Amino acid sequence: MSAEIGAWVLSVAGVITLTVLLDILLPEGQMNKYVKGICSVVTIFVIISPLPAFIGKDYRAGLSGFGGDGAAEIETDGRFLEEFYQSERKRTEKVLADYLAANGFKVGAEIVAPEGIYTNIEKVYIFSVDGGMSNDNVHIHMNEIRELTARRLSIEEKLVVERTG
Amino acid sequence: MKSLHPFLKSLYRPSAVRYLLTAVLAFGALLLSGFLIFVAAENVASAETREQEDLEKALEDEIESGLGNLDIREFQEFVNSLDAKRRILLRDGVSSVIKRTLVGELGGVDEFAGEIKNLFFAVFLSALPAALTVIIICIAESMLTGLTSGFKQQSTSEIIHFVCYAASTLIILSEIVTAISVTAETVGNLKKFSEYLFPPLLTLMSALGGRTMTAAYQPLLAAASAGVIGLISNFVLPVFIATIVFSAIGNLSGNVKLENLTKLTRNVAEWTLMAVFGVFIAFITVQGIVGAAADRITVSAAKFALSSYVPILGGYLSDGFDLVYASCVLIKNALGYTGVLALGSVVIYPIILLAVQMLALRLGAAVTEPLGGERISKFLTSVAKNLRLLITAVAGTGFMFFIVIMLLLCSA
Repeated sequence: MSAEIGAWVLSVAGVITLTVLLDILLPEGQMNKYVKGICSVVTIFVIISPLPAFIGKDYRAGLSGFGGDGAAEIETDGRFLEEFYQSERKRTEKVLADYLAANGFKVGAEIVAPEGIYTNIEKVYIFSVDGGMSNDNVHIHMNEIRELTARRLSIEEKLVVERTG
Repeated sequence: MKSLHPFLKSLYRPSAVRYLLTAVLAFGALLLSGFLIFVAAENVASAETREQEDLEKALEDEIESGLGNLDIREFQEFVNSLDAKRRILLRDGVSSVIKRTLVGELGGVDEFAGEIKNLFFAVFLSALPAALTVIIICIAESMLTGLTSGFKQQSTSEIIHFVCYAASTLIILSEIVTAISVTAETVGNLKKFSEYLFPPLLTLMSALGGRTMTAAYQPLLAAASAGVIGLISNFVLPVFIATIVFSAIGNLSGNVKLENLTKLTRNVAEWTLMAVFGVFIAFITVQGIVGAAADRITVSAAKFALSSYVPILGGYLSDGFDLVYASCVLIKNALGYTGVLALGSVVIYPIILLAVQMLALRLGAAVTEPLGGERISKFLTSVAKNLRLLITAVAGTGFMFFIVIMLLLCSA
């Protein structure tokens, strides 16, 4: 587009300059008047010469029609997101385990939330830990643990499952 | 009782003693309970203070960790690559500004105003010689025209005018070339700015649950950095050059006038710019508000039932849940603020340069008009009006990116 604009500007400038030069060089007289008239007509044609190009042009290109060297992808940093989600998850698991321990259930917790705990928690696994409740006790008290966990994390109870094995 | 003095006997009232004793005991109990409550409150307050301090320390550690993981190297390198004139608001570098912002040191207005004032006067003094030279040429032209007024041929005056006009045009065009190169460089810097700042900002927004907004903004920002900046480089700048050429040749002769063609060309470019900016800003604002509302609902639904609150940073955090989230919010806001400073640094110098050139040209036009250099004066006025196009392009793009940064900062 800039090349087209440049060509048009040069042609207008050239015609005008020629007109001015002729105006200076030609002697005073009848001829001068006719030459100026012809130059004016030529100038008008040169000025309106780009207009026919706009007829029938496809304008759906939008901003990309103005050229440019292509849109660079604006991508998020996957590595940072991965580490952030992991850090969030670990912290939340620890807080959850402490909460359950404070309520008399010393168990471990593992949260499955690939897109972060603030977006979507897919599952919470409850399991026994060394020095805590045994597998059997976890199984026996699973309903209470499930209720406490669901309340603490504001999720549905069905997402809290016991991990066996 | 019988052995007591009659006076004492008169004072003795069995019920009065009981009342007195009761009053003394009650008062003593009150004192004791007050003392116990005070001691207990002291212990609770110190426990709360300890908890708050622990939480603040944990928050600082999370922030350090988050900053270490976030990749802002390219943004830092971009800011460091700017020359001193284009880095007036970020002289200390990106990292130190982010760290100062995180502790609440945002910098005073005086500091910024001082830098801008110095820049303005430096640019003004550099633009003044060109205007003064043009004025001197006009004075010489009027003197020469006066000397040749007795000549028979009118064309002698015309030739004097052409020579003086050509000399003035050459001087002004050299300033315009500087303006065009500064604008082109600024547009390139704005493209790099968007490519290096928006990915980490969008990453942080995505981490904070702003997935809807991130998905909406990624294509929009790509369109902005390529489309709008391509519009300025490939359409606005060539049209600006066209208006300068028309201004120059339109005032070459008294018979050929191109004033309205210059005005038409300039208006087409201005209207195109304003339409594109207006549509883009409206679209991105609506998308941002709707996306932010959707993300807020999602995140609010996932907020946890809190067992205890600890006052921190003017708000409340739960005992550990929100620390990672809060650290990410703080980093996002600090990075966004630094981005605004970087944006200001990139656009302030060209805007000041173009504004000062406009001022100098108008000064030249005002002074040359009464000296008889009417066509030179009209040329200077026309060029000054055309410079508005470049200012609109640079300021409009800067404002557009500013709106985007504000929307990203206010989203979470």
